[in-house]
Amino acid sequence: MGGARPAWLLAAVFVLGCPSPSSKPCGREMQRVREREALRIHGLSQNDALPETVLRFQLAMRCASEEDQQELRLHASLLQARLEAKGDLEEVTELERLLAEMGLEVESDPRLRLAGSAARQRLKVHATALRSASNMDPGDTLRAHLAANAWEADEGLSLPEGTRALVAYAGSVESCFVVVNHQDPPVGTGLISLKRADKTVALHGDSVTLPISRGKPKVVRLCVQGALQTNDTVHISVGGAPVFQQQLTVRPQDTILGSLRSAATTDVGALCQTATGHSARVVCAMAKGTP
Amino acid sequence: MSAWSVRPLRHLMVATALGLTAGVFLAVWLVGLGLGRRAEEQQGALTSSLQLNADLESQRLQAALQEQQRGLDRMLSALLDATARAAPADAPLAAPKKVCDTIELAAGVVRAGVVDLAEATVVALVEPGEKGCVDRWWALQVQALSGPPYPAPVDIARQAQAAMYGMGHVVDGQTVVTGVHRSGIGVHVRLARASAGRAAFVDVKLADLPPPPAVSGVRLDSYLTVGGVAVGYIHGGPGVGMVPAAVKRIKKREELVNQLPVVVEAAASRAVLAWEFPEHFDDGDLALAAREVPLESQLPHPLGLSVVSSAPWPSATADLRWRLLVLVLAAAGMQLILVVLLTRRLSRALSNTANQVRVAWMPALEGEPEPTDDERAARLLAAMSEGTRDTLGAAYGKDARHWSGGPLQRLLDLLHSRLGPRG
Repeated sequence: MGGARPAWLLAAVFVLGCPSPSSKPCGREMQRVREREALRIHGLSQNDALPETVLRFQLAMRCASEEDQQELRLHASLLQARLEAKGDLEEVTELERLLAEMGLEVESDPRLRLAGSAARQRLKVHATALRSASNMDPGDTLRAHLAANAWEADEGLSLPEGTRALVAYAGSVESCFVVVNHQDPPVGTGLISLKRADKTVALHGDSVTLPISRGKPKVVRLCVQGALQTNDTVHISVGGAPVFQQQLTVRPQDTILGSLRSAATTDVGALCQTATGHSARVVCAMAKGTP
Repeated sequence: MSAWSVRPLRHLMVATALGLTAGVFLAVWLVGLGLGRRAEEQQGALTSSLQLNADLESQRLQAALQEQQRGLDRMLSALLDATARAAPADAPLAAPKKVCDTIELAAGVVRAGVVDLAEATVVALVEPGEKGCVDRWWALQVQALSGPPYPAPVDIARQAQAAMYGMGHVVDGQTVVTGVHRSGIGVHVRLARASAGRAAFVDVKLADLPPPPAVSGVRLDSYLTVGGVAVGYIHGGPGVGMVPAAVKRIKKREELVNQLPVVVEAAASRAVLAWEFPEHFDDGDLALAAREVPLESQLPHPLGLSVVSSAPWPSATADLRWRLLVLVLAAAGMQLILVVLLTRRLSRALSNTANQVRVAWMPALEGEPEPTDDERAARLLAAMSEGTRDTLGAAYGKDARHWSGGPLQRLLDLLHSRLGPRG
């Protein structure tokens, strides 16, 4: 036994001298979180990915002391603040979920979620109101369809077949129209132009080329400077051959929307005073915030 | 080594080595003492100067923040007034547009707006654009009517949620800080004021505050902290071009991301990191001083303003000590090598002479006949004469003219004839 004593002593010294496997990795992960956060704050790292950050938190949380947890909570709340300020609710929600899973609850404001859904709902009402006016003319039907698509409305509205040009709004500074192609021109690349008394008016907005392929409706929005005139006609030609032409019809509600966009709010009041027709009344009602 | 076997040379070498060692230690100690004293003096003067800079900048920023808050307070009141005229339900769509006409966005404002706290709805949201104030919320509402394209629901939700940020901390009738976050490396602060169930808020980019006056040789970094953790810079931080360089280095070697000193070599935020993580940095790296002051806020964690003032040391004290030590040791080593090389012939001659004399005078080995005194004298004389010539040759050169070989030879011949073996 006497000969074995140095070996035991050596082994004991070796075991005691080695760092314990539980404490050092913990300290390292906490330090890693701390330093990564510091690098981000000081602009030395642009890697702001949420999953990676949360993974680091998880690794550090495995054996974090109460003090470390407080620090992690602080880092998490700063990350949450940044996401909230950006309005990134999906990421905020995901962060909250992941933090709750690891026992790092961070104070959150439930109104944050309400605000997004309330805002979406409030503006979606506009699309609903527009749909209610859709039985008035084919143009409004088309608008309702586009709006429904934009707002992911589930009511099935049939898109009128054919190609249409409709005024989006008509203002004194700028007027815009939309060309919706659904089916009929020959397949190819259509060239859209606006003719005013045999003169071509300069257009801006989307591209004036309209790729036409069967079964794939396209929507192009083009604008002119100034007001639209009664004889303005939209032309589409494919390979130099004219395939479509339609005169633009400016409705009262288009003028009201044009005034709204150009911030001529006094005009809106006057136009709405004299507005007749269901669609115009709907737009005026929406403009007042009571659709 | 022949010099080592000669007692006086051996003593000389030992004494030289001891003297050199003592001299080196003494020199290093003296140099260190001198440098330390100088560093302390410089540290004192430099740190006092840096501390003064940090204090002045801290006071200047606090005053600027207070001044800005007073201006924003008026703006928030104006926002609340402008949107309080009509209830949200029957407010005309055009009404919020007038917000831009009513208020003037102060410098540094990146977003302002009003929210209805009870309904959790946005009443107004304005941002600075290229041509001045732009009403984002109003534009979204009009776009919802005049599309396509209609605003994407996710964009609307994003705007609304961003407007609600920090609204849980608003105080009625008082302008308070309700949120702090960073964008890039810059810190943004949200100030809000509530009245009659509504809250007006404004997001301010603090980097747009007037920059600090330039002080030659002194770098100033200012930033906000929440709960003691840095949130973002007001002024300073990595310079233009520094961040991409650091990011490039990190991308090249991903593990560098965890090595602060390595990564920040090229970055100007070294001073702040050295202040926050002193354990990673050498004391002789930078001269640092800082001022940390608390700021009022409604945040759950304390908000603070930190100013770090830094300058490179006039001399890299720590490095200089090591360099001096290496230089002194190298000089001493060179001296020793030269002594050995230059005295090797003389040492060998002395060693040989002494050895031959010792052999001539020593008693005979066992089994050999004991020499007579005359024989010993003759051998001794032969060894001495030969050794003396060699020694003189080693000391003064091989040419006998330099050490007067003629008289010496005659003297040796005379002695040899008197003491040499007879017959």
